[in-house]
Amino acid sequence: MAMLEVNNLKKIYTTRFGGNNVQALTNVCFTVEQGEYVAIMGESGSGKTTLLNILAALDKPSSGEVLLNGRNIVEIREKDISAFRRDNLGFVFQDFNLLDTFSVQDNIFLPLVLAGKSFDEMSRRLQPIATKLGIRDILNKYPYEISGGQKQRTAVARALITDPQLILADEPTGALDSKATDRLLKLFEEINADGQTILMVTHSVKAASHARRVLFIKDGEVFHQLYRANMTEDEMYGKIADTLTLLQKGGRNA
Amino acid sequence: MHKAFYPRLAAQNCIKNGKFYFPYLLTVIFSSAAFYIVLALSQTGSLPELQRYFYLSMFMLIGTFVLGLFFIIFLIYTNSFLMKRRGKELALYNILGMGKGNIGVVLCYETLYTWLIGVGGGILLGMLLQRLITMLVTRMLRIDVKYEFFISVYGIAVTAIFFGAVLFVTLLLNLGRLRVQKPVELLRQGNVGEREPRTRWLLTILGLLSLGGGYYIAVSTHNSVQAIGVYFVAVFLVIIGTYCLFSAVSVVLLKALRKNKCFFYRTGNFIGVSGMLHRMNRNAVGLANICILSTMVLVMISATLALFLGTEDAITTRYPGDLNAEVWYWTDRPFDTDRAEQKLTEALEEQGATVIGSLSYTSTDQPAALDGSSFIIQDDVYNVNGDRILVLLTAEDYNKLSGQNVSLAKDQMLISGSDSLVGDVRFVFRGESGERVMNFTAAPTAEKFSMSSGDVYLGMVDYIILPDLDTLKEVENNCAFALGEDERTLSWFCEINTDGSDQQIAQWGQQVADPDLCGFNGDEDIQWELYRLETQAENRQDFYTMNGGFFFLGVFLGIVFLMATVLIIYYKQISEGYEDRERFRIMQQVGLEKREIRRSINVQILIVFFAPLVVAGVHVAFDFNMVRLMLVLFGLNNAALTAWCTVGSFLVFALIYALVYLLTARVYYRIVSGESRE
Repeated sequence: MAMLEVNNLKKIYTTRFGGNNVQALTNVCFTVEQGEYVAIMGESGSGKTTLLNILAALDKPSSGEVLLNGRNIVEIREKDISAFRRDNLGFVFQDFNLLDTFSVQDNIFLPLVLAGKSFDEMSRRLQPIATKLGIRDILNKYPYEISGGQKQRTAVARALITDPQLILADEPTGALDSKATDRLLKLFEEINADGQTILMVTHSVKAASHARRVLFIKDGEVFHQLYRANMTEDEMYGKIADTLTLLQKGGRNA
Repeated sequence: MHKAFYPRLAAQNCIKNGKFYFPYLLTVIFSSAAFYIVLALSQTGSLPELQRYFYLSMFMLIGTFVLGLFFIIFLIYTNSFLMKRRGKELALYNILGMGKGNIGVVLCYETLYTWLIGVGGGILLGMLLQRLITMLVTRMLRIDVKYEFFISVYGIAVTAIFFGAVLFVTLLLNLGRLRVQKPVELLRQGNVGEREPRTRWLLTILGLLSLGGGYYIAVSTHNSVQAIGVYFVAVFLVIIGTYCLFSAVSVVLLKALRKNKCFFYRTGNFIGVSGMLHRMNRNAVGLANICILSTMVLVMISATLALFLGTEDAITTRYPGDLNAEVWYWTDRPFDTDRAEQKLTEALEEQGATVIGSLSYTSTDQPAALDGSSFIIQDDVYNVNGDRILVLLTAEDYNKLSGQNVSLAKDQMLISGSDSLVGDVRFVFRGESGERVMNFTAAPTAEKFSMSSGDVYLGMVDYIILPDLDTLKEVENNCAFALGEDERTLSWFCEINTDGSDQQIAQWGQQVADPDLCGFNGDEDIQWELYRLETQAENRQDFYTMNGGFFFLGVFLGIVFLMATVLIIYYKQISEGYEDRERFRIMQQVGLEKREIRRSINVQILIVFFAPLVVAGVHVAFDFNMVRLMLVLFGLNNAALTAWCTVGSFLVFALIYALVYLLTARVYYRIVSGESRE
């Protein structure tokens, strides 16, 4: 059974006075297997963010279902959603979303504190992750004292520390320079190699080329998908670029 | 641009910024209403030309000055808060192509609206309230003159001009700020992370020391004169201490809480403690302000309330009987006390009064210094630690006053006072020409003895019971020797109670106060230096006018300060709400439940909100001793009443405070949970 199953997802935004309806997602279907690393690509306005918000249980679809390990997250009751999100999902955002009022360590602890874990358990979980992400030396610093790359690695640590089923990353490299981007993408690959399932939304070809599979979304539908299989990153890069070109041309012709 | 553009834009701005602007407008309305009322009351023309009616105008005049000064500071403060919140908005106008001149015109219109609506509305509200307040004032001051509603043109004019001037100053400040600000920086403002405040040990220690010093002074003061002298020192120390407490001690405390892993790593504490810690830089002063204002309100209201409720007490302390005669007589000339008492009673009965009871006694009082077991009496005794007053009585009069039955041998005496002196006690009279000594064997009185007339003394009072009148006269003579005076007089007091009404008693009093009418003149056995007779009835009115005036002013100013406190709290909550919004959004994304948001907000708000109240409560508790002592100067010596008034004021204040909390917590919650859009 697939770990994540998205069936006939549809989302229509209605303006307040019932004027124009905007169809963000028309009919999205795809599955993600345990241990996969999937990138979702598409232009601005293609429905990527809407899709991610629905997967994150931050938004409800107009129709369709999202099954995480067979459980339909669309039907989770409002009061259980936060706990569900905390226990099953890890988030990495473009603008890091770290809290300035917490030290790096406390930022990473945040979801565990919210889950009511003890300090000892939190430290035990933190040690291997901090070592792996290379942020051991900055644990006591504050977000405004560290670089963008360090911030994003902190955010990754915060996502990993709950040991989630699925990591959702929204343009994780969007605010990073190329060096930090390389390091982060390498990290994602390593994490994935350890068995972590990752779903990443991006429009960076480079970021997508690190994934094992790339889904292309256009006008609210999954338009195409690419498997990396045994391709090198460069080959994958080329393929993705070609697909994007095709996608855009197709868009003009349609 | 179209002519109507500026006024319209200004009006839109006011409405769009309603969350900040309406409380500001309300403040202007209430402030000008309060100002108009005190002005109108101070100008009441239709009152009789009696001394006590003069008090009313005087109190209102004081009120005008205090309020005026306060409003200047407070309106400038709230305005600057308002403008800080609007920095982004104005910068946006600037970037979108409005020159600073154009924005200035809009600001002028806004100020004009504030003046028209705020001050106009305030004066109208003031007129409405004036009727009610006039009624209350006449009740409290027991003024029996009917005193009608009137419109004070003077009040309107002064209020309009005063607030016009204050608002004009705020406008100038705003324009000045506008001139120097850079729009791009303003747009980015608020995104800069606030650094964690450093631990400032020096300030922490300074704060604790000055707070401790202030408290120590307050607690260790034992007499009223001293209390007045050091009160402002103590207040000053406590104010400094309060600012340090909130800005430095709080940081130390919060950091200590953060170190406690078990406490810190729980949802509510985790978010609350770190949030507060980071905001302390800017918050500390606001919290300290709230704390100090609250303390002021509490002290003012509780003290004046105690004074007002204790008026009857103060009257009976000062005037124990319906009629109170006081006579000074010489130690070397005859004065028959029984006969004098009889004469007074007869004179009153001649006027038609029925005397129910009378009590008379002789006493003298003398400032002295205590050195070991010697009372030192000399000129300028205050310079040698003379901190006590001796009230000397004969055993006979003591028995009359206390209901005891003691008789003393020639060199015995009884003492009731602040120290328990027993055994050999000496009076040492140090005059210019030598020293005289009187030796006694002292014992304490059976029960602690005090006289209500002793309460009016400002120092420690020792009551000393001497064997007989001759000994008392000898002491008085020696005192005169020590001070180098020729006057050697004792005071004789006579308290008489009758069955008459206040009005009758006042009338009889005026008659019998004449030494010819009371039969003192022409009697060989009654030779006196001074004679006066006062009635409770005549003085009651004065006391009520005075204490009622204080109370009214206390409550009135208290309410105005309370309004200020509430507004500061409200603004603080809103601005923090907007700051916290982003944080709570992020936390929701990583799995913070709505329920948890509410809970952690509660932890944070409760601490931030009630810390000033708790500290104010502690201040007031320490201040209690001082207030009690100073009220003695106003004739109130009733610690229990003062304590109840303080506790009562605190509870009522806490209740109002809690209501404000509930209200602002809701607004805050709505902002951070994103239910209200900016």
